[in-house]
Amino acid sequence: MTAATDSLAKPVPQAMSLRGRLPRIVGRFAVWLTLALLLVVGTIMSPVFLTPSNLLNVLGQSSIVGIAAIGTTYVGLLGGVDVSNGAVLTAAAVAAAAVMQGRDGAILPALAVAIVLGALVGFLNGLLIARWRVNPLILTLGVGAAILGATELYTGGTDLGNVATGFTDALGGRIGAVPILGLVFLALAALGILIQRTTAFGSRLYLVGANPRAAALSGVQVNAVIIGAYVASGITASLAGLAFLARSGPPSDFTGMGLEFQVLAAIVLGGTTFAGGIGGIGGTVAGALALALSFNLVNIIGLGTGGQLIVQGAVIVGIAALYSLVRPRQ
Amino acid sequence: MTSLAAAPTSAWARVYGRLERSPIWFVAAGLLLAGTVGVSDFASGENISNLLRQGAALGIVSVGQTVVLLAGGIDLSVGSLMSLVVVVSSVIMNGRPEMIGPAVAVCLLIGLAVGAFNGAMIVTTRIYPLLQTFGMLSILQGVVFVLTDRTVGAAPPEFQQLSYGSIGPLPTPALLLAAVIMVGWLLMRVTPFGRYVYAVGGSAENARRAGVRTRSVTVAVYILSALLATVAGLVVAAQLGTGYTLAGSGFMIDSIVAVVIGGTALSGGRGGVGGTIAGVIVLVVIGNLLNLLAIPAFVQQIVNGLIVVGVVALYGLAELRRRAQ
Repeated sequence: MTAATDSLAKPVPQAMSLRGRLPRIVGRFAVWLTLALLLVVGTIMSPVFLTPSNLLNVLGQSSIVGIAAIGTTYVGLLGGVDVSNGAVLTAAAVAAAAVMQGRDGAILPALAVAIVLGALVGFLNGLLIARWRVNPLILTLGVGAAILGATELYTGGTDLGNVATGFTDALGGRIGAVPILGLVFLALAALGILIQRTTAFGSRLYLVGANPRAAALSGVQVNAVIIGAYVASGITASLAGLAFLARSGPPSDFTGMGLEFQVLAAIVLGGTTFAGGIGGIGGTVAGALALALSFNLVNIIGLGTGGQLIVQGAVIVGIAALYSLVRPRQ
Repeated sequence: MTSLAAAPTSAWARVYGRLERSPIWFVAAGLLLAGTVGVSDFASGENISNLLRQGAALGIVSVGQTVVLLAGGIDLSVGSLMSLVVVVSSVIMNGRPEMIGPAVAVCLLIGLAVGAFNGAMIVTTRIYPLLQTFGMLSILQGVVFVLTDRTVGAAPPEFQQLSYGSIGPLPTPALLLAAVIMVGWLLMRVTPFGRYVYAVGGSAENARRAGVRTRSVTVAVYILSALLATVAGLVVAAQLGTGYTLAGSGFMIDSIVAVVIGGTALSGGRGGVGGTIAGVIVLVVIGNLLNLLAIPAFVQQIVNGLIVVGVVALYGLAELRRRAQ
């Protein structure tokens, strides 16, 4: 692994003073410390928290947000943002259910339709952002709104289509006590990390994220990298939609709404904080797990949705502020 | 716009120059014209009064969002702050007119605290404004749900005058919006504070070197945004008459969209309150026209989404052209 592909390859100037190394250290361990802290606090607060069955449930609960966050981490590495993933997730789940219509034979076409849908939306986002320098936040907000509207127009606001039993059996169940979707999430994350660490695309993500102009001057096809990242984000959003389908059945209408924020929270928690060129999928996995753990803790305490939102917000502000404090000053 | 370019000679040239720089006014004018000509009830006095009432809250919160974006920030927390204000004010008033004063005071204090906290965090930790205000969005909506899981409280009829009353022929909320626009416009165009905001948004480092107290300016814009969101929340509370927990949820996205299609750059330093007003007019009139034509809500959502994509793409292209020159 060269310095450029190292997961924290923001060029650190001069000698490695403690001040210089601090960002690396915090960036690498903050989310794991959070995770450990949550485990300790949870264990103190509830006897059922640190049981294998509860922790495996949390893994299953983190899978939808976690899967969507894999591709969107690539976007975050570029300093971009994709909030259309919640809408893509919903649209992909609706489209897959509509194609399946309860038939096991139609599972593969349904998967293909969902993934192509996600890839297309990602391509459109990436193209506009790379070629026309459209602001990613506003663009993906608009694209997300249009997709959700189109999805509801198509379904007429009711859940349409049926999930094939073969699909639910294959993905919705458990192997032993382990939720299959949790395993799928970890496997996809491993694939994502592999791409990030070993492929040219992976190292170019860090180069373009850290300094697009320098990357362009050294011959990197910057636009292709940007489009690739958004396509990856669209594809993992549609995969998350399929996971949603296996877990909860066809979404009625706006189920995707709000998930994009949890995805963003998981990514930021993991240390990919829009600085460009800093972070990676490993942190995102820990971020998704930490987020699911904190929601679990809130539920155990009995605070419900309100508590979840407060914890989510406090965690984002706290962690992001911490990362910012130790970010090297220009 | 910071560049007070060479003063055009005739009034017509000045108007034309303004339109060329802010194409959103063409869109707004086109929509108003199309509505008047093509949709029978559009230009009726009742509908125009409706438009003004519906647009007031969005207009007020968007003025605050404009100032934040001009300073190079963004405020995602305005919508859930509005929800909190609607719930808290409705609960405090609970139908009693004598509690209007305390309710308004408490809400303004909440707004002040939220804005000050956002601003202070951003200047002290250098956290990205997007993440700070997104976290705040989540926290405030969480507080709403901890307070109540259903619609609570009531606004007394006296308070509802804030949305449904009229002063002379003009709806009260429209007058309130006009006052906010006037103050916002004067603040940005006449006072040193306005110049500082543009300077900080253009380049915080250059502004600092020029002696601008950039941290104070940053804190001030978030306080301003939160206070205006509080006022907008009070207008919504008056309109609904009760404390609905998700009353403000659409306003975050709508306010940012109004500001951006109004020509204020997300990167800060360019744009202004005037363009935002056109952006608000476009959003409100489109919603109203689609309603009058009985077009379902999700088609409206598609249209809104496509408008956003189209307009930001146009601005992106214009930016590319500007850089190429």
